[in-house]
Amino acid sequence: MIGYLTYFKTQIVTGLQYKVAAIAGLCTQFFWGFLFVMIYQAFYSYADNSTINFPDLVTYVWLNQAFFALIYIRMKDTEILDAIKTGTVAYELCRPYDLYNWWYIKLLAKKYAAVMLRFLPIIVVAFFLPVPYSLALPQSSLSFILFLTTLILGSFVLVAILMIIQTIAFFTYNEGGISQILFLIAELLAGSFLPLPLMPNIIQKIGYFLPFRLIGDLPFRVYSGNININDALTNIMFQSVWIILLIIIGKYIMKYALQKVAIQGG
Amino acid sequence: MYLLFNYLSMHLKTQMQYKSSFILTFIAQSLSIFTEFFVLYSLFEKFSLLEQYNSYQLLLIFGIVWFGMSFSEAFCRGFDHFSRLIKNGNFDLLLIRPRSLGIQIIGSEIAYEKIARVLTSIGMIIFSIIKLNNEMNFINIIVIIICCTCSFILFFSIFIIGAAFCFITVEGLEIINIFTDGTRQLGQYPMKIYNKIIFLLFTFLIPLTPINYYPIEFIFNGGPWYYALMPFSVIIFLIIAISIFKLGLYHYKSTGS
Repeated sequence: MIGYLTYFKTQIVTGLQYKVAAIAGLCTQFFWGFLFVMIYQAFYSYADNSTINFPDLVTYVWLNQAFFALIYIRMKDTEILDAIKTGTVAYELCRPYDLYNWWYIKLLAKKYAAVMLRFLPIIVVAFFLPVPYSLALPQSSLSFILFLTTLILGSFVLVAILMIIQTIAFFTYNEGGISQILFLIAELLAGSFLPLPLMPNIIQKIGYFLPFRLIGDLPFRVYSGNININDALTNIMFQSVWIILLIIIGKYIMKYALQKVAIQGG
Repeated sequence: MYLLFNYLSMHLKTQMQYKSSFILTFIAQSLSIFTEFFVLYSLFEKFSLLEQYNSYQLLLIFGIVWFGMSFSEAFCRGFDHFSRLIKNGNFDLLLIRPRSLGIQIIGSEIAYEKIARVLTSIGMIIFSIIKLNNEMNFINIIVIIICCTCSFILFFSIFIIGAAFCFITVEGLEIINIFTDGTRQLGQYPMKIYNKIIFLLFTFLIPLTPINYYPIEFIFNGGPWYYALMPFSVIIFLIIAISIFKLGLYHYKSTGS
């Protein structure tokens, strides 16, 4: 356990070194935030929407941008895949730790480090923007606590999903193709393209059955009170069940994959 | 020209070495465009704006903008990834060769998987033309073809400006992605939905409305004839872009290799 914790810490410290990348990321996040607010404003000027009102949506957009690094599903970083391709997975297998847990912690630490460098400036600036475009305060202190809880649990869900998608790369030795399609579906149902409340009803219904919306959609709507406290508590239960389920599936696939894995290169 | 085709076939051969993954990537790229349109369509449906904006017109505008973006992404990757050329010193190599610099940069990298997007957007445009049959005549189809070409020129010019900045910064700028992706993101919606400031910004700073607003007005809403010629204003943008690039080239100092 201490081994895992230390590893988590060192990975976070490593991640915090990439400050220039974070600044570049910040600019992009601001820009996309403004862009989406502008686009949605254009639509809301025609009609209101019953599922989510404009201020709530703006809050949603800014939170989405602020915590983007934490909830971003598509992974550009292919360290695990590279380990398989170059054969360094052999070293990883030699460690006296469970490989799944080891990589899970690595991914989680990376996400936390990236988000720690980025979220504060966006929150602060978005908060001081003129009124219809600004980030609102959380609805109540309770909803803020629930927001933090769901956000952290959501990151566990995300990493468990990423582990599964990455392990599938074991079988294909290629990050393209199949995982791209999986990412696309996951992103659509997580509301990365369009917040889930603005999706057609049928997609919303499918989305509610799957774990993807628990990553970002849920916490951001809990924050603004768009999802009330009772629903939030039920959803926290869903999140916990999904985390356990996804980790079990991931471990199982990895066990199967490791039996098949051929060490590439020496 | 012959050189360009040589470059093209060389890159295709390399990519075809990984067949199954290539096909899957193709499908994924194509699906990603459909997803984008699906999102756009659902927004219009959610806000019940489909009476005001015919869905095939939306598809047409969407197709034109995405065509321009993906075509330049597929064939002008060299400009998009210009910083790599400069950083590893390969750019100096291109300067020495007695061939056109532009063609060499274009030939340095071609993203074949983006062709899936090009084909998908062409399919979308043709589909919407067929569905909008009543309003289509020979002139209108010519206007649409001009729009597509000029849309490509627009995104190509933004890529060139981005590349020109690499002369100063060496490191590629994410800011430029903001301009290409941002223009695409905004441009896929009809410009009419935005407010005045954005409209003016994307007419005079980045000439997006000459592609996705004025010609569309000409075709469907009986705009005056000169609306149909507006797309050509993109050429001015291209000239500006090339002069910026030349200016950068003039001041270029090699990074060594």
